[in-house]
Amino acid sequence: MLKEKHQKEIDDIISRYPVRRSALLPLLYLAQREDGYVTEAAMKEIAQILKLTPPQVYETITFYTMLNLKPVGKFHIQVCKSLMCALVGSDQLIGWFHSKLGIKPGETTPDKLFTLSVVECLGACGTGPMMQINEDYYERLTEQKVDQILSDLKNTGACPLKSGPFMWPEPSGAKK
Amino acid sequence: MTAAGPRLLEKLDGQPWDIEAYIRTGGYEAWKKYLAGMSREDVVNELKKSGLRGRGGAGFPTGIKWDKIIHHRTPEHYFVCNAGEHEPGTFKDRYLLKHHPHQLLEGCLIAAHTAQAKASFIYINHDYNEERKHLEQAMAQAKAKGLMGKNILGTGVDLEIELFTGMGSYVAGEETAMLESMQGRPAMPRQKPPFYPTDFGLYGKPTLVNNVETLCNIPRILHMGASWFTQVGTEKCPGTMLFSLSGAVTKPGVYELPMGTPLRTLIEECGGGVPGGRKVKAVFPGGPSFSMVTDDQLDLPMEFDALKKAGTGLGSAGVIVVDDATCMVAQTLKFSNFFKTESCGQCPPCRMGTNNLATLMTKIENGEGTQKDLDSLLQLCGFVKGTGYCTLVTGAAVLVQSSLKLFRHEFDEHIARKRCPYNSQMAAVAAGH
Repeated sequence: MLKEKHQKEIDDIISRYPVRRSALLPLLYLAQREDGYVTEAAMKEIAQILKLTPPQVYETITFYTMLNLKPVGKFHIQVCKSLMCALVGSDQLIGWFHSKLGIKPGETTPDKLFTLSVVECLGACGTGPMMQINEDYYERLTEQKVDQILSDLKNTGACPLKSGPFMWPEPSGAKK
Repeated sequence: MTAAGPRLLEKLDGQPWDIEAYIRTGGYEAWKKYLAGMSREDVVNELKKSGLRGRGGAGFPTGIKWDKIIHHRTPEHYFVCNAGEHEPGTFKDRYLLKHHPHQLLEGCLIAAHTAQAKASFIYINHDYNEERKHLEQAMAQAKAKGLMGKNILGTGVDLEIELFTGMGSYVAGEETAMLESMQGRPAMPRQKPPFYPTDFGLYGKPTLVNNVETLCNIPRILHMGASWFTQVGTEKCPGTMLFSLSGAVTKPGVYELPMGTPLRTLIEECGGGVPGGRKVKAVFPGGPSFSMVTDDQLDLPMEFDALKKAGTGLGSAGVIVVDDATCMVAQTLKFSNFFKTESCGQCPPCRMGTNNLATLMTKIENGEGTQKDLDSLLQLCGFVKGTGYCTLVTGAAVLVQSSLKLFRHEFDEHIARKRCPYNSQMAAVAAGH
């Protein structure tokens, strides 16, 4: 249960808002961090904590794309398909994932390692094509880079190619 | 950068969250000056004098907005900084959050103090993970310096700013939807009127909502003075603006230019032109919700009023360049799908309109369209435009309309040849999802 495990954090979150219901999204995110997705039990528990009805929680959670209702793979790949990235080749990239992993957008590999999603703008239009895997951004992707990222994640669970979001012109003095 | 030099963004000599580096560039001077004896009216008057207009898309004069909030009869106010940047092609707020968190924080402190806010929040996208960390570090340092928190600099002023992490969804960038989201509800825009959160905002109380870039401008204006601010830009739109340049250019990125700079300067001098010897076919001067302009209109000055006169708009200055190797039908379809996905579904014209637009566009792109479909498209656009609580469906309609108006021959070609004349097998794979 969330409450026993994270009592302090939950109290801290609730104390930040003058109205209790405002804590709903932060708490749902906490639940997602715990299990990778928001379980039904968690939804009920959060409803109880915030004195809401479960449908009120469900109504909110189903609206937001970043809250998962289904389990996702260990690495949730979200490739941006908006026009800015499409102009620099995100469509080819999605095709490349399809041929490498054998999954279409919305599917998970049988080993539960990778889930492929195709999403709208993630705000890295200057450095496309890009994707987000779990919390990390990977930008200016090429097919070689994707190969390396996939094999690194598979073998070591981390990849040095993650840019952390970065910007053009390059930060720290290069601008202007 | 052009001759005017950077005005909004001083180069920091240190890490972005390093408070000392920011203080060396004159940071927190405005905040100290305010606490030392400026009245709220002084601040608002200075802003009015500067003519600063909101950088979030609507271009509403900031001074007037602030004036409304300080004179509102309800005593309970809130302040929210809208850092929920979801507009495709706009990433200037992300740049500011990442590289100048202190400047934003100072702007927020000034705004929250002016609004006499009961609680103050910065609503930030969940995907901006690193940016959020920078902001958190900056806030911790400001607190340690006594510039934020309890009894600031011994003046007895208490001010706390909290971060609220948004969970995605494009409409959450619309201010009333953002406030709904902060109240733990689906991010659905509210019915208007009341039009502005300054009357009916967070928890139904008057709320000051400002964009990140607007807030970053404020410490500079108070520190350097309104007359300094109006040195560049046009009479109606003074100051500089951060342009997010993306798409088919050699050097995409965030560029600070005076308001009224021609579009051509941005694309050719800053962005290095279109790569691979290709040409500009169309440009979105303000993201997908405003009409496109074609290559013969590149001398348009980039400011709110001139672009409005030209039938388009500056929005949040997400400039997207489309090159001549791109199929306009396929790219319009991309954005139609975007609007379809991101419609929150509360207003029927939007829920069904965006769906139908995307369906018709898909049909034409796949070569199954007829001339009748083009007529239906236009009819549908005319029907849904201006409906809905927010402007999402209007944006979706304007996009299709402008694409049809400017590139009708490409639509006709798709219909006549019964296929997309550009090679876009991959696009079809991706568009299916």
